[in-house]
Amino acid sequence: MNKRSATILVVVFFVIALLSIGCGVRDKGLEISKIDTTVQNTIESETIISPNSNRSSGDSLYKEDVYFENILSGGVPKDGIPPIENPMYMNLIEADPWLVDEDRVFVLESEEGVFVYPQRVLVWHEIVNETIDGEEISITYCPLTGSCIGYYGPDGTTFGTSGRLLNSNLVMYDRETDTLWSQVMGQAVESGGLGEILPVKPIHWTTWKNVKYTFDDVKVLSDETGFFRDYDRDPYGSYVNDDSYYYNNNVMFPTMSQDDRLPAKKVVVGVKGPNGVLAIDPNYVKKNAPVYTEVGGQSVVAIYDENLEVVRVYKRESFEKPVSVTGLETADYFDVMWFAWVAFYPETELLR
Amino acid sequence: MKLKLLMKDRKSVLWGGVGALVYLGLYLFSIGAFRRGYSGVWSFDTAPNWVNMIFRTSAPYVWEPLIRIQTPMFSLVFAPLNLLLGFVLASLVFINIAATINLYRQPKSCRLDAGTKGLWAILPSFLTGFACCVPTFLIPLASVSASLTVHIIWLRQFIIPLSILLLLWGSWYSLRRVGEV
Repeated sequence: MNKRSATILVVVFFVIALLSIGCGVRDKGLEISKIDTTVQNTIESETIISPNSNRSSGDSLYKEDVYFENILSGGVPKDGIPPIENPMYMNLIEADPWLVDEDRVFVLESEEGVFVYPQRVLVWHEIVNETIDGEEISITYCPLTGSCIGYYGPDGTTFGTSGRLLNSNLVMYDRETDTLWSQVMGQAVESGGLGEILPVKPIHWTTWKNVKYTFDDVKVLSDETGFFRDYDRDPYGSYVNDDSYYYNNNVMFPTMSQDDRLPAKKVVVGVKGPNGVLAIDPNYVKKNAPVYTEVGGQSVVAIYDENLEVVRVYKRESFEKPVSVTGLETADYFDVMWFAWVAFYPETELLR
Repeated sequence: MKLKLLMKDRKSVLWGGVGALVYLGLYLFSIGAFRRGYSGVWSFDTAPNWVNMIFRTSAPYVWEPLIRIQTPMFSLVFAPLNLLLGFVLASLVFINIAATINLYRQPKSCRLDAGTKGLWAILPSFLTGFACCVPTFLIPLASVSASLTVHIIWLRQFIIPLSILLLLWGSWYSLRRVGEV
Protein backbone atom coordinates (compact mmCIF):
# COMPACT_ATOMS: atom_id res chain seq x y z
CA MET A 1 0.00 0.00 0.00
CA ASN A 2 1.57 3.27 -1.05
CA LYS A 3 1.32 6.54 0.87
CA ARG A 4 -1.51 7.88 -1.30
CA SER A 5 -3.65 4.80 -0.74
CA ALA A 6 -2.95 4.92 2.96
CA THR A 7 -4.00 8.58 3.13
CA ILE A 8 -7.26 7.89 1.28
CA LEU A 9 -7.94 4.97 3.58
CA VAL A 10 -7.41 7.06 6.70
CA VAL A 11 -9.71 9.81 5.38
CA VAL A 12 -12.44 7.29 4.56
CA PHE A 13 -12.11 5.79 8.04
CA PHE A 14 -12.53 9.20 9.67
CA VAL A 15 -15.57 10.10 7.57
CA ILE A 16 -17.31 6.85 8.36
CA ALA A 17 -16.35 7.02 12.02
CA LEU A 18 -17.79 10.53 12.22
CA LEU A 19 -20.99 9.39 10.56
CA SER A 20 -21.26 6.62 13.10
CA ILE A 21 -20.80 9.09 15.95
CA GLY A 22 -23.38 11.41 14.43
CA CYS A 23 -25.87 8.59 14.38
CA GLY A 24 -25.66 8.16 18.11
CA VAL A 25 -26.50 11.77 18.54
CA ARG A 26 -29.40 12.89 18.15
CA ASP A 27 -58.35 16.68 39.53
CA LYS A 28 -60.42 16.68 40.78
CA GLY A 29 -58.19 19.55 41.39
CA LEU A 30 -58.81 20.55 37.80
CA GLU A 31 -59.69 24.15 38.00
CA ILE A 32 -62.81 24.10 35.89
CA SER A 33 -63.67 27.51 37.21
CA LYS A 34 -60.61 29.03 35.58
CA ILE A 35 -61.47 27.51 32.25
CA ASP A 36 -65.12 28.42 32.56
CA THR A 37 -64.17 32.01 33.17
CA THR A 38 -62.18 32.05 29.99
CA VAL A 39 -65.01 30.50 28.08
CA GLN A 40 -67.57 32.92 29.41
CA ASN A 41 -65.36 35.79 28.43
CA THR A 42 -64.63 34.54 24.97
CA ILE A 43 -68.19 33.60 24.22
CA GLU A 44 -69.15 37.27 24.50
CA SER A 45 -67.19 37.86 21.33
CA GLU A 46 -68.60 34.98 19.40
CA THR A 47 -67.92 34.16 15.80
CA ILE A 48 -70.25 32.05 13.75
CA ILE A 49 -68.90 29.91 10.98
CA SER A 50 -71.45 28.40 8.69
CA PRO A 51 -70.90 24.86 7.60
CA ASN A 52 -68.96 25.68 4.49
CA SER A 53 -68.90 22.58 2.46
CA ASN A 54 -71.01 19.74 1.35
CA ARG A 55 -68.06 17.55 0.47
CA SER A 56 -67.44 16.24 3.94
CA SER A 57 -67.68 12.54 4.39
CA GLY A 58 -66.64 10.57 7.41
CA ASP A 59 -66.46 7.52 5.26
CA SER A 60 -62.93 6.74 4.35
CA LEU A 61 -61.89 7.54 0.80
CA TYR A 62 -59.93 4.33 0.66
CA LYS A 63 -60.80 0.73 1.19
CA GLU A 64 -59.27 -0.89 4.22
CA ASP A 65 -56.93 -3.00 2.09
CA VAL A 66 -55.36 0.18 0.72
CA TYR A 67 -54.44 1.26 4.23
CA PHE A 68 -53.06 -2.15 5.03
CA GLU A 69 -50.94 -2.16 1.87
CA ASN A 70 -49.49 1.22 2.79
CA ILE A 71 -48.25 0.14 6.20
CA LEU A 72 -44.45 0.29 6.29
CA SER A 73 -41.85 -1.03 8.66
CA GLY A 74 -40.32 1.58 10.92
CA GLY A 75 -37.29 -0.67 11.33
CA VAL A 76 -38.04 -1.64 14.93
CA PRO A 77 -39.70 -4.78 16.24
CA LYS A 78 -43.02 -5.04 18.04
CA ASP A 79 -42.72 -3.07 21.31
CA GLY A 80 -39.14 -2.23 20.30
CA ILE A 81 -40.32 1.24 21.32
CA PRO A 82 -41.44 0.06 24.73
CA PRO A 83 -44.80 1.29 26.07
CA ILE A 84 -44.87 2.27 29.75
CA GLU A 85 -47.06 -0.25 31.53
CA ASN A 86 -46.80 0.80 35.17
CA PRO A 87 -46.37 4.57 35.10
CA MET A 88 -45.01 6.33 38.15
CA TYR A 89 -45.72 9.96 38.89
CA MET A 90 -44.18 12.95 40.62
CA ASN A 91 -45.99 15.94 42.03
CA LEU A 92 -45.51 19.47 40.73
CA ILE A 93 -42.80 20.36 43.24
CA GLU A 94 -40.81 17.21 42.49
CA ALA A 95 -41.09 17.65 38.72
CA ASP A 96 -40.24 21.33 38.57
CA PRO A 97 -36.47 21.03 38.94
CA TRP A 98 -36.41 18.39 36.20
CA LEU A 99 -38.62 20.11 33.61
CA VAL A 100 -37.91 23.50 32.09
CA ASP A 101 -40.58 26.08 31.37
CA GLU A 102 -40.47 25.56 27.61
CA ASP A 103 -40.78 21.78 27.77
CA ARG A 104 -43.75 20.45 25.85
CA VAL A 105 -46.11 18.41 27.99
CA PHE A 106 -49.38 16.61 27.34
CA VAL A 107 -52.20 17.31 29.78
CA LEU A 108 -54.99 14.85 30.49
CA GLU A 109 -57.75 16.15 32.74
CA SER A 110 -59.82 13.60 34.59
CA GLU A 111 -61.98 13.15 37.66
CA GLU A 112 -58.93 11.63 39.36
CA GLY A 113 -56.89 14.71 38.72
CA VAL A 114 -54.63 16.28 36.12
CA PHE A 115 -52.09 13.96 34.55
CA VAL A 116 -49.08 15.49 32.83
CA TYR A 117 -46.98 13.51 30.36
CA PRO A 118 -43.67 15.18 29.38
CA GLN A 119 -42.96 14.95 25.65
CA ARG A 120 -39.31 14.20 26.46
CA VAL A 121 -40.44 10.90 28.05
CA LEU A 122 -43.14 9.93 25.61
CA VAL A 123 -40.87 10.47 22.61
CA TRP A 124 -39.03 7.30 23.72
CA HIS A 125 -42.12 5.22 24.56
CA GLU A 126 -45.02 6.51 22.45
CA ILE A 127 -47.62 4.73 24.59
CA VAL A 128 -48.50 4.84 28.30
CA ASN A 129 -51.05 2.29 29.44
CA GLU A 130 -52.90 3.53 32.50
CA THR A 131 -56.15 3.20 34.42
CA ILE A 132 -57.83 6.55 34.93
CA ASP A 133 -61.31 7.10 36.35
CA GLY A 134 -61.64 3.35 36.54
CA GLU A 135 -61.09 2.77 32.83
CA GLU A 136 -58.12 1.41 30.91
CA ILE A 137 -56.74 4.16 28.70
CA SER A 138 -53.75 4.36 26.40
CA ILE A 139 -52.02 7.69 26.10
CA THR A 140 -50.54 7.46 22.61
CA TYR A 141 -48.01 9.82 21.04
CA CYS A 142 -46.44 9.78 17.61
CA PRO A 143 -43.38 12.07 17.39
CA LEU A 144 -43.32 11.95 13.59
CA THR A 145 -46.85 13.38 13.27
CA GLY A 146 -47.01 15.36 16.52
CA SER A 147 -50.23 13.67 17.60
CA CYS A 148 -51.04 12.78 21.21
CA ILE A 149 -54.37 11.03 21.69
CA GLY A 150 -55.97 9.16 24.56
CA TYR A 151 -57.77 6.02 23.45
CA TYR A 152 -60.04 3.64 25.29
CA GLY A 153 -59.26 0.22 23.83
CA PRO A 154 -62.04 -2.21 22.87
CA ASP A 155 -63.08 -4.37 25.82
CA GLY A 156 -60.57 -2.56 28.02
CA THR A 157 -57.55 -3.88 26.15
CA THR A 158 -54.32 -1.93 26.07
CA PHE A 159 -52.07 -1.07 23.14
CA GLY A 160 -48.48 -1.70 22.16
CA THR A 161 -46.24 -0.30 19.43
CA SER A 162 -46.21 -2.44 16.31
CA GLY A 163 -42.96 -1.02 14.90
CA ARG A 164 -44.87 -0.08 11.76
CA LEU A 165 -46.04 3.18 10.31
CA LEU A 166 -48.92 4.33 8.15
CA ASN A 167 -48.55 7.76 6.58
CA SER A 168 -45.51 8.25 8.82
CA ASN A 169 -47.83 7.78 11.81
CA LEU A 170 -47.76 5.29 14.66
CA VAL A 171 -49.48 1.97 14.05
CA MET A 172 -50.50 0.34 17.34
CA TYR A 173 -51.60 -3.19 18.07
CA ASP A 174 -54.09 -4.22 20.69
CA ARG A 175 -52.98 -6.76 23.26
CA GLU A 176 -56.24 -8.71 23.06
CA THR A 177 -56.48 -9.59 19.36
CA ASP A 178 -53.14 -8.37 17.96
CA THR A 179 -55.06 -6.20 15.51
CA LEU A 180 -53.25 -3.22 13.98
CA TRP A 181 -54.72 0.23 14.65
CA SER A 182 -53.89 3.57 13.08
CA GLN A 183 -53.26 6.20 15.72
CA VAL A 184 -54.65 9.17 13.78
CA MET A 185 -57.66 7.26 12.47
CA GLY A 186 -58.31 5.40 15.71
CA GLN A 187 -59.46 2.52 13.57
CA ALA A 188 -58.24 -0.97 12.86
CA VAL A 189 -56.31 -1.16 9.61
CA GLU A 190 -56.09 -4.89 9.17
CA SER A 191 -57.00 -6.30 5.80
CA GLY A 192 -60.20 -7.60 7.38
CA GLY A 193 -61.83 -4.19 7.72
CA LEU A 194 -61.68 -0.80 9.32
CA GLY A 195 -64.33 -1.46 11.93
CA GLU A 196 -65.10 0.61 14.97
CA ILE A 197 -63.63 3.99 15.81
CA LEU A 198 -62.01 4.13 19.24
CA PRO A 199 -63.46 6.60 21.74
CA VAL A 200 -61.09 9.55 22.21
CA LYS A 201 -60.02 11.20 25.43
CA PRO A 202 -58.76 14.72 24.60
CA ILE A 203 -55.18 15.40 25.61
CA HIS A 204 -53.80 18.90 25.23
CA TRP A 205 -50.32 20.07 24.23
CA THR A 206 -48.99 22.86 26.33
CA THR A 207 -45.82 23.92 28.10
CA TRP A 208 -44.65 23.10 31.59
CA LYS A 209 -44.80 26.80 32.40
CA ASN A 210 -48.52 26.93 31.55
CA VAL A 211 -49.17 23.84 33.65
CA LYS A 212 -47.39 25.37 36.63
CA TYR A 213 -49.42 28.54 36.49
CA THR A 214 -52.75 26.84 35.78
CA PHE A 215 -52.90 23.92 38.18
CA ASP A 216 -52.06 23.61 41.86
CA ASP A 217 -51.81 19.87 41.89
CA VAL A 218 -50.75 17.60 39.04
CA LYS A 219 -49.35 14.12 38.55
CA VAL A 220 -46.31 14.26 36.30
CA LEU A 221 -45.07 11.10 34.62
CA SER A 222 -41.72 10.18 36.15
CA ASP A 223 -38.58 9.24 34.25
CA GLU A 224 -38.49 6.04 36.33
CA THR A 225 -40.04 4.07 33.51
CA GLY A 226 -38.28 0.75 33.94
CA PHE A 227 -36.14 1.47 30.88
CA PHE A 228 -32.81 3.20 30.43
CA ARG A 229 -33.44 6.02 27.97
CA ASP A 230 -31.80 9.41 27.58
CA TYR A 231 -34.73 11.58 28.63
CA ASP A 232 -32.67 14.73 28.29
CA ARG A 233 -32.35 14.22 24.54
CA ASP A 234 -35.00 14.14 21.85
CA PRO A 235 -33.83 11.91 18.97
CA TYR A 236 -35.87 13.95 16.49
CA GLY A 237 -34.53 17.36 17.46
CA SER A 238 -36.21 19.90 19.65
CA TYR A 239 -39.44 21.85 19.98
CA VAL A 240 -37.43 24.72 21.40
CA ASN A 241 -35.09 25.10 18.43
CA ASP A 242 -36.83 25.72 15.15
CA ASP A 243 -34.24 23.97 12.99
CA SER A 244 -35.37 20.47 13.86
CA TYR A 245 -37.60 17.83 12.30
CA TYR A 246 -40.59 19.34 14.07
CA TYR A 247 -40.43 22.52 12.05
CA ASN A 248 -38.93 21.71 8.66
CA ASN A 249 -40.89 20.43 5.68
CA ASN A 250 -39.30 16.99 5.49
CA VAL A 251 -41.65 14.07 5.88
CA MET A 252 -39.91 10.85 6.84
CA PHE A 253 -42.03 8.28 5.06
CA PRO A 254 -44.25 8.29 1.97
CA THR A 255 -47.84 9.38 2.58
CA MET A 256 -51.04 8.46 0.77
CA SER A 257 -51.93 12.04 -0.12
CA GLN A 258 -50.46 15.52 0.14
CA ASP A 259 -51.99 18.98 0.40
CA ASP A 260 -50.06 22.25 0.33
CA ARG A 261 -52.74 24.50 1.77
CA LEU A 262 -50.58 24.63 4.91
CA PRO A 263 -46.91 23.85 5.63
CA ALA A 264 -46.39 20.13 6.26
CA LYS A 265 -45.56 20.46 9.95
CA LYS A 266 -48.12 23.14 10.78
CA VAL A 267 -50.06 21.91 13.81
CA VAL A 268 -53.83 21.87 13.37
CA VAL A 269 -56.65 20.68 15.59
CA GLY A 270 -58.17 17.69 13.84
CA VAL A 271 -61.84 17.21 14.70
CA LYS A 272 -63.85 14.13 13.79
CA GLY A 273 -67.59 14.22 13.30
CA PRO A 274 -70.02 11.42 12.58
CA ASN A 275 -69.84 11.97 8.82
CA GLY A 276 -66.85 14.14 8.20
CA VAL A 277 -63.70 15.72 9.53
CA LEU A 278 -62.39 19.24 10.01
CA ALA A 279 -58.96 20.76 10.58
CA ILE A 280 -58.81 24.00 12.54
CA ASP A 281 -55.85 26.35 12.69
CA PRO A 282 -55.39 27.09 16.43
CA ASN A 283 -54.51 30.70 15.60
CA TYR A 284 -57.92 31.14 14.00
CA VAL A 285 -59.63 30.05 17.22
CA LYS A 286 -57.31 32.23 19.29
CA LYS A 287 -58.36 35.29 17.29
CA ASN A 288 -62.05 34.48 16.83
CA ALA A 289 -63.13 32.35 19.78
CA PRO A 290 -65.66 31.08 20.37
CA VAL A 291 -66.00 29.50 16.96
CA TYR A 292 -69.29 27.78 16.20
CA THR A 293 -69.14 25.35 13.35
CA GLU A 294 -70.13 21.93 12.20
CA VAL A 295 -68.15 18.77 11.57
CA GLY A 296 -69.75 16.06 9.49
CA GLY A 297 -73.21 16.75 10.81
CA GLN A 298 -72.13 17.46 14.38
CA SER A 299 -72.45 21.01 15.70
CA VAL A 300 -69.41 22.02 17.70
CA VAL A 301 -67.96 25.02 19.47
CA ALA A 302 -64.22 25.65 19.64
CA ILE A 303 -62.89 27.81 22.42
CA TYR A 304 -59.44 29.02 23.32
CA ASP A 305 -58.15 28.23 26.80
CA GLU A 306 -55.80 31.11 27.47
CA ASN A 307 -54.33 29.54 30.58
CA LEU A 308 -52.98 26.48 28.80
CA GLU A 309 -52.92 28.15 25.36
CA VAL A 310 -54.87 25.30 23.82
CA VAL A 311 -58.00 24.85 21.75
CA ARG A 312 -60.89 22.89 23.23
CA VAL A 313 -63.73 21.60 21.13
CA TYR A 314 -67.16 20.67 22.46
CA LYS A 315 -70.22 19.12 20.89
CA ARG A 316 -73.35 21.22 21.12
CA GLU A 317 -76.98 20.32 20.80
CA SER A 318 -78.25 21.23 17.33
CA PHE A 319 -77.10 24.70 16.32
CA GLU A 320 -77.85 26.66 19.47
CA LYS A 321 -75.08 28.79 20.94
CA PRO A 322 -74.31 27.77 24.52
CA VAL A 323 -73.12 30.47 26.88
CA SER A 324 -70.86 28.06 28.72
CA VAL A 325 -69.15 24.80 27.90
CA THR A 326 -69.97 23.41 31.34
CA GLY A 327 -71.77 20.15 30.87
CA LEU A 328 -71.02 19.94 27.16
CA GLU A 329 -69.50 16.74 25.87
CA THR A 330 -66.06 17.04 24.36
CA ALA A 331 -65.73 16.37 20.65
CA ASP A 332 -63.23 13.87 19.24
CA TYR A 333 -60.25 16.10 18.56
CA PHE A 334 -56.48 16.28 18.89
CA ASP A 335 -53.49 18.28 17.72
CA VAL A 336 -51.70 16.84 14.70
CA MET A 337 -49.31 17.97 11.99
CA TRP A 338 -51.13 19.02 8.83
CA PHE A 339 -49.34 16.58 6.52
CA ALA A 340 -50.50 13.61 8.57
CA TRP A 341 -54.09 14.81 8.88
CA VAL A 342 -54.49 15.25 5.11
CA ALA A 343 -52.68 11.99 4.44
CA PHE A 344 -55.53 10.20 6.21
CA TYR A 345 -58.29 12.66 5.42
CA PRO A 346 -57.64 14.31 2.04
CA GLU A 347 -61.31 15.36 1.97
CA THR A 348 -60.90 17.40 5.16
CA GLU A 349 -62.31 20.86 5.51
CA LEU A 350 -59.93 23.49 6.83
CA LEU A 351 -60.82 26.41 9.05
CA ARG A 352 -58.14 29.07 9.06
CA MET B 1 -1.34 -21.24 13.80
CA LYS B 2 -1.26 -18.06 11.70
CA LEU B 3 -2.93 -16.22 14.57
CA LYS B 4 -0.15 -17.36 16.90
CA LEU B 5 2.40 -16.07 14.45
CA LEU B 6 0.57 -12.78 14.25
CA MET B 7 0.45 -12.46 18.03
CA LYS B 8 4.20 -12.60 18.16
CA ASP B 9 4.43 -9.36 16.19
CA ARG B 10 4.07 -6.94 19.12
CA LYS B 11 3.75 -3.80 17.03
CA SER B 12 0.92 -5.27 14.95
CA VAL B 13 -0.80 -6.51 18.11
CA LEU B 14 -0.48 -3.06 19.67
CA TRP B 15 -2.00 -1.21 16.72
CA GLY B 16 -4.63 -3.92 16.22
CA GLY B 17 -5.61 -3.57 19.89
CA VAL B 18 -5.82 0.20 19.67
CA GLY B 19 -7.92 -0.07 16.52
CA ALA B 20 -10.25 -2.64 18.12
CA LEU B 21 -10.71 -0.50 21.24
CA VAL B 22 -11.47 2.59 19.19
CA TYR B 23 -13.89 0.55 17.11
CA LEU B 24 -15.63 -0.86 20.20
CA GLY B 25 -15.97 2.64 21.64
CA LEU B 26 -17.46 3.97 18.41
CA TYR B 27 -19.83 1.02 18.15
CA LEU B 28 -21.09 1.46 21.71
CA PHE B 29 -21.39 5.21 21.28
CA SER B 30 -23.40 4.78 18.10
CA ILE B 31 -25.97 2.54 19.79
CA GLY B 32 -26.39 5.10 22.57
CA ALA B 33 -24.32 3.44 25.33
CA PHE B 34 -22.58 6.67 26.32
CA ARG B 35 -24.72 9.51 27.57
CA ARG B 36 -23.77 12.98 28.61
CA GLY B 37 -25.14 14.56 31.75
CA TYR B 38 -23.63 15.83 34.95
CA SER B 39 -24.75 13.87 38.00
CA GLY B 40 -21.81 14.42 40.30
CA VAL B 41 -22.07 10.93 41.70
CA TRP B 42 -21.09 7.36 40.95
CA SER B 43 -23.80 4.74 40.85
CA PHE B 44 -24.63 1.35 39.43
CA ASP B 45 -28.08 -0.02 38.81
CA THR B 46 -29.96 -2.53 36.70
CA ALA B 47 -33.30 -2.32 34.92
CA PRO B 48 -36.10 -3.38 37.31
CA ASN B 49 -37.27 -6.23 35.09
CA TRP B 50 -33.88 -7.11 33.63
CA VAL B 51 -34.31 -10.92 33.78
CA ASN B 52 -37.23 -10.76 31.35
CA MET B 53 -35.55 -8.24 29.09
CA ILE B 54 -32.24 -9.93 28.29
CA PHE B 55 -33.31 -10.93 24.78
CA ARG B 56 -35.60 -7.98 24.15
CA THR B 57 -34.54 -5.95 21.12
CA SER B 58 -35.22 -2.29 20.47
CA ALA B 59 -33.96 -2.51 16.87
CA PRO B 60 -32.26 -5.17 14.74
CA TYR B 61 -29.18 -6.35 16.68
CA VAL B 62 -29.73 -3.70 19.35
CA TRP B 63 -30.85 -5.09 22.68
CA GLU B 64 -32.57 -3.33 25.55
CA PRO B 65 -30.00 -1.77 27.92
CA LEU B 66 -30.11 -3.48 31.32
CA ILE B 67 -27.14 -2.07 33.19
CA ARG B 68 -26.40 1.56 33.96
CA ILE B 69 -23.15 2.89 35.33
CA GLN B 70 -23.30 6.51 36.31
CA THR B 71 -20.13 8.54 36.56
CA PRO B 72 -19.99 12.14 37.74
CA MET B 73 -19.77 13.41 34.17
CA PHE B 74 -21.57 10.87 32.03
CA SER B 75 -23.32 7.53 32.17
CA LEU B 76 -22.94 4.20 30.41
CA VAL B 77 -25.83 1.87 29.64
CA PHE B 78 -25.23 -1.66 28.46
CA ALA B 79 -27.10 -4.62 27.12
CA PRO B 80 -25.03 -7.77 27.71
CA LEU B 81 -25.77 -9.07 24.23
CA ASN B 82 -24.71 -5.81 22.63
CA LEU B 83 -21.50 -5.95 24.60
CA LEU B 84 -20.94 -9.50 23.36
CA LEU B 85 -21.64 -8.50 19.76
CA GLY B 86 -19.32 -5.53 20.15
CA PHE B 87 -16.52 -7.78 21.40
CA VAL B 88 -16.99 -10.18 18.48
CA LEU B 89 -16.85 -7.35 15.96
CA ALA B 90 -13.92 -5.69 17.72
CA SER B 91 -12.02 -9.00 17.76
CA LEU B 92 -12.45 -9.33 14.01
CA VAL B 93 -11.40 -5.73 13.55
CA PHE B 94 -8.32 -6.48 15.66
CA ILE B 95 -7.32 -9.40 13.43
CA ASN B 96 -7.85 -7.37 10.27
CA ILE B 97 -5.79 -4.41 11.45
CA ALA B 98 -3.03 -6.47 13.04
CA ALA B 99 -2.67 -8.70 9.98
CA THR B 100 -2.63 -5.71 7.68
CA ILE B 101 0.06 -3.97 9.68
CA ASN B 102 2.05 -7.17 9.90
CA LEU B 103 2.02 -7.48 6.12
CA TYR B 104 2.75 -3.80 5.63
CA ARG B 105 5.84 -4.12 7.81
CA GLN B 106 7.36 -6.79 5.60
CA PRO B 107 10.24 -5.81 3.34
CA LYS B 108 8.84 -3.86 0.41
CA SER B 109 10.01 -6.40 -2.14
CA CYS B 110 8.16 -9.14 -0.28
CA ARG B 111 5.05 -7.12 0.61
CA LEU B 112 1.79 -8.67 -0.53
CA ASP B 113 -1.31 -6.85 -1.62
CA ALA B 114 -3.54 -8.64 0.84
CA GLY B 115 -3.26 -6.19 3.69
CA THR B 116 -5.20 -3.43 2.00
CA LYS B 117 -8.03 -5.81 1.21
CA GLY B 118 -8.18 -6.87 4.84
CA LEU B 119 -8.49 -3.27 5.99
CA TRP B 120 -11.21 -2.46 3.49
CA ALA B 121 -13.26 -5.30 4.98
CA ILE B 122 -13.47 -3.28 8.21
CA LEU B 123 -15.42 -0.47 6.54
CA PRO B 124 -18.89 -2.08 6.41
CA SER B 125 -18.55 -2.98 10.07
CA PHE B 126 -18.59 0.71 10.90
CA LEU B 127 -22.13 0.70 9.56
CA THR B 128 -23.12 -1.23 12.65
CA GLY B 129 -22.87 2.14 14.27
CA PHE B 130 -25.99 3.06 12.39
CA ALA B 131 -27.93 0.46 14.30
CA CYS B 132 -29.49 3.07 16.54
CA CYS B 133 -32.97 4.53 16.62
CA VAL B 134 -33.96 4.40 12.98
CA PRO B 135 -35.59 7.78 12.58
CA THR B 136 -32.56 9.50 14.12
CA PHE B 137 -30.19 8.73 11.34
CA LEU B 138 -32.85 8.89 8.67
CA ILE B 139 -33.93 12.41 9.51
CA PRO B 140 -31.24 14.03 7.31
CA LEU B 141 -31.97 11.53 4.57
CA ALA B 142 -35.66 12.32 4.52
CA SER B 143 -34.85 15.55 2.75
CA VAL B 144 -33.51 13.49 -0.13
CA SER B 145 -36.43 11.16 -0.50
CA ALA B 146 -39.07 9.72 1.82
CA SER B 147 -39.05 6.50 -0.18
CA LEU B 148 -35.28 6.20 0.30
CA THR B 149 -35.83 5.80 4.02
CA VAL B 150 -38.01 2.78 3.36
CA HIS B 151 -35.24 1.07 1.41
CA ILE B 152 -32.58 1.92 3.97
CA ILE B 153 -34.71 0.47 6.77
CA TRP B 154 -35.08 -2.71 4.76
CA LEU B 155 -31.32 -2.91 4.18
CA ARG B 156 -30.54 -2.23 7.82
CA GLN B 157 -31.39 -5.74 8.94
CA PHE B 158 -28.54 -7.09 6.82
CA ILE B 159 -25.81 -4.71 7.98
CA ILE B 160 -24.57 -6.69 10.99
CA PRO B 161 -24.50 -10.09 9.25
CA LEU B 162 -22.83 -8.46 6.25
CA SER B 163 -20.25 -6.81 8.49
CA ILE B 164 -19.43 -10.07 10.22
CA LEU B 165 -19.14 -11.94 6.93
CA LEU B 166 -16.86 -9.32 5.41
CA LEU B 167 -14.70 -9.14 8.53
CA LEU B 168 -14.41 -12.91 8.59
CA TRP B 169 -13.44 -12.87 4.93
CA GLY B 170 -10.94 -10.09 5.56
CA SER B 171 -9.45 -11.98 8.51
CA TRP B 172 -9.05 -15.13 6.50
CA TYR B 173 -7.65 -13.29 3.51
CA SER B 174 -5.06 -11.44 5.57
CA LEU B 175 -4.15 -14.19 8.02
CA ARG B 176 -3.31 -16.73 5.33
CA ARG B 177 -0.57 -14.43 4.11
CA VAL B 178 0.95 -13.85 7.54
CA GLY B 179 4.31 -15.61 7.75
CA GLU B 180 4.44 -16.38 4.04
CA VAL B 181 7.43 -14.15 3.45
